[in-house]
Amino acid sequence: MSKAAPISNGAPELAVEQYLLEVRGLSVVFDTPDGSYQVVDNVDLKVRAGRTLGLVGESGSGKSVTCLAALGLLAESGRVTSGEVWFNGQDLLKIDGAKLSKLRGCEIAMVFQDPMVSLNPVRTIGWQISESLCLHQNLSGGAERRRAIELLDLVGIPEPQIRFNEYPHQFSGGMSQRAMIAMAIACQPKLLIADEPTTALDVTIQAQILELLSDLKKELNMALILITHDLGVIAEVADDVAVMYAGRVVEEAPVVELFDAPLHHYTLGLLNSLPRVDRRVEHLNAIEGTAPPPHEFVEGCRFAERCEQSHDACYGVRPKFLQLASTRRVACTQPVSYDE
Amino acid sequence: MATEPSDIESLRLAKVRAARGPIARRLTAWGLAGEWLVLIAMTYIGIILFLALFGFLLQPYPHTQTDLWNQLQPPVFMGGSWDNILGTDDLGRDVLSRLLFGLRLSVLIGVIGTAIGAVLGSFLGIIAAHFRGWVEEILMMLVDVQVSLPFIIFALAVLAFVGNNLTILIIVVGIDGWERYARLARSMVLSANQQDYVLAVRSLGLGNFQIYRRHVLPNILGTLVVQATINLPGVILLESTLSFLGLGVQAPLTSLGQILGVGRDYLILAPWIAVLPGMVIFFLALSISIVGDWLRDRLDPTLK
Amino acid sequence: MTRYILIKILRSLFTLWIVVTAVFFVLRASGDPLYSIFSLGTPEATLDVFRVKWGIDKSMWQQYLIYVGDIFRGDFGTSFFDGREAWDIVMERLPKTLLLGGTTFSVSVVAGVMLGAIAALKRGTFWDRGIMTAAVASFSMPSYFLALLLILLFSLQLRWLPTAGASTWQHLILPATTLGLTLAGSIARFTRSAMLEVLRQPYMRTARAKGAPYWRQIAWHALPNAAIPTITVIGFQLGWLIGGSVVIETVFAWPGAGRLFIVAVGVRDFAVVQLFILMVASTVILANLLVDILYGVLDPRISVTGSKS
Repeated sequence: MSKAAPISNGAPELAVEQYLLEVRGLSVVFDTPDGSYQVVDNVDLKVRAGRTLGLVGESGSGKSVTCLAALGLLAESGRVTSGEVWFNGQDLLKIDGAKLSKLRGCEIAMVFQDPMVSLNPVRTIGWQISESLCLHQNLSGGAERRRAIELLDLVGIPEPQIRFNEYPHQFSGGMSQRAMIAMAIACQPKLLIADEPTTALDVTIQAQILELLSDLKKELNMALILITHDLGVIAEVADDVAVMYAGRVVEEAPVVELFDAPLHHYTLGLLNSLPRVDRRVEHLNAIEGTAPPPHEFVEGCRFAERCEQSHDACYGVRPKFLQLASTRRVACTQPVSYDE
Repeated sequence: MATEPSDIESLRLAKVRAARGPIARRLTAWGLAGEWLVLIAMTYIGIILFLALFGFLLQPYPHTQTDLWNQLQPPVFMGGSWDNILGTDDLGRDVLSRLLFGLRLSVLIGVIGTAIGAVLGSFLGIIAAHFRGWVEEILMMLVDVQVSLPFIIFALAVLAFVGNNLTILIIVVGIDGWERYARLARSMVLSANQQDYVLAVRSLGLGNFQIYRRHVLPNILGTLVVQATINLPGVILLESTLSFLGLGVQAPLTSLGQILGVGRDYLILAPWIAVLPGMVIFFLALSISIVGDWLRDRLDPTLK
Repeated sequence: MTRYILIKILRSLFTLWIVVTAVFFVLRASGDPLYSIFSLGTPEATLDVFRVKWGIDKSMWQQYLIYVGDIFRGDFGTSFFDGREAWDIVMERLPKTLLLGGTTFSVSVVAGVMLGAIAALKRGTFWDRGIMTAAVASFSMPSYFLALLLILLFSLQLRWLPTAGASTWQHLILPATTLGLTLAGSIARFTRSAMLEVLRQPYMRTARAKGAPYWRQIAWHALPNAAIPTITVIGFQLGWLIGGSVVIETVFAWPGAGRLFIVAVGVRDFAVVQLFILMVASTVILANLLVDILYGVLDPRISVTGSKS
């Protein structure tokens, strides 16, 4: 799988290329009354310890589903049909429910899109944070409370002692998301998955939350998967980027390389559709057409229909990955070239 | 010929469609395909309605005709004679004839009663939503009063003290559930009055009556009809309970509940007198409930 | 919060007063009760003696004022039939009704909530369909007919349980089952839909993502939320239960207040009927008041709006 650099034998903790989380060939199918749709198709993802992976794509591209499936959090109608999810030397899809429960919220935590509805309305914020502690750590009641207040303070909630006893409906959206983050980092996870953490929030709050996430990441030395449809967010926080389109990963690259020289035509289109401050553009170049819904997924390149460079080889067969460096690959038969 | 295969193909498809038949297609269109329980329930309601409307043509004897030489005869399937297919009761009256007559009255009271409640309640609800203020306050107070007294207790007291005839019975049974329609109509009209199109026609100078008749009522009618379907079994059960207790339909008339009330005294000797009408009521209420739930899920999932 | 409850209490008392007044006048709409009590041809002079004795010689309004005044003094009038205090007659029967009602209520709430929750958690399975079909069937069944069927089977055929009376605990089984089945059915239906609504909320996913074990997700996250709408429904069912017990007590000859009511209604015993209705209405109103308060306790969002208003 990995053409990664050889792992140094003496000190495994220094092994940079050791992945914290590795998703291999994950496929997810959703069963609906109208039929079954494969919304995630053979997805590979790699997250290195302490780094931030930005998972970018339009809504419906399968980025959230991939992460939910990896943690066994899919809704009833969804099921994993193939793949492995390696974390800390174990396959999360194979271990039993109790073990997975122990890992969730402890080693891997998740923050969701809409904080206002992701918090239990009949429990106090303090109760919900303490619960995370109580589930995974052996603390006395008093210590639990102190730690929860500390966490509220850590995520920048003013007057944590008072806020501790308040209910979610008394919190604003931004404050709720801070509380969600406090809940997620309660046990100092090695990996935090943030699923569109800023989408439901005001623009000014968005920046604060992103800043909080990067600060916490550094402070707690966690890895972070940031799911977003917003390339601006990616540019700000991510170290590595995986671009998803219609249930597949189409390009992976370190963030600077991706923005400098996108290889997939879809990525290029996304970047071109961004408003730029550094140069004057007459109009935004949105990509023509729309992403296909799951029941129109084809075997060949799914972007081909919208791609200006598409040719016969794009249809019928799934495009193979072109590995350009250990961290750089693209699934395109004729990637964007920068020869000139 | 290039067209041949596609012609054959379309022929084959047409055959498949024909084989599925117009009934199957209609069922699919109405969302009834595979809903066996709903179909059975509908069939049962259809039979009951037919018997209620035309049952008197099939009635072998007058429902009051006694035959004291022929008391408590068992039905055919319990070894009785074909003279009284479903047996006879304590006065030798033909159970089948009484069932058909009682069914007619039970369905009549149930349907008219439901209609009274629906019209009364909806009307009050609309009035309250239109005038707001103290009119609305009074209505909500009446709703509180209605909710605070179990309806059957109120009905029993009224029937016993005010007197009893078919008209009073139908009115009393009809009052049951008015508050549900009133609440529903009120809240729907309140929200409809906020809608842009109502504001628009109002600004055009259309009169209140016209607005309600042409624009508001058609929009809330579906929900009210669904609510009526859901209430109907309750009304039928209420009448049967009152009649069972001897305070509903009075002899010489009879209803299913009343037959059951009489049969109760002959439970050991002649269980059919009580069990047959009981089964008819049970399956009728059950069928209407099933169809009502189906209607609600199909037309108005917000109702609950 | 206190203000909110105080307003509720005042409103409840007002509702109760309307019920009492309405019942008083409806019951008297039928004319002179003496003609239905005494046989025809009783001399008017004799009737007048009773009219004065029972206070029905006065105008309707005077009677009403006296009646309301008496209620405040704790005097609920005397029965026209045995001349005893209506209060004593009803109180004598109340314990049996409370026994039947209490047993039925608690058993069917527990059973209904559990079955409803199971149906929701096993949605779409055999269990769900079975429980829901049984629930719809249970409230389509006329309760008195179910009573007769149970009597036919368990008392007359199998001879396991007594048909009528209230002397032993065996006597409780059939009436409680009959009443309870319908109640449990409707509670199960409401619990199921409340539970389904809660289970698809994003906060349930948060609980899973936290690593909470399954039972904890259900018991600590789902149930408290599902309880809020369910409590209201259960509160409303109390009125239904009282109405149903009137019928069931009659069928099983259970010597409770409900059967007393049917008898009193039959002989037009004003005092007893009025007191019974007053007690039923107070119970239901009180239950609804408790539900309102409980609602505020269970749902933090309500108590805040309550204290603000």
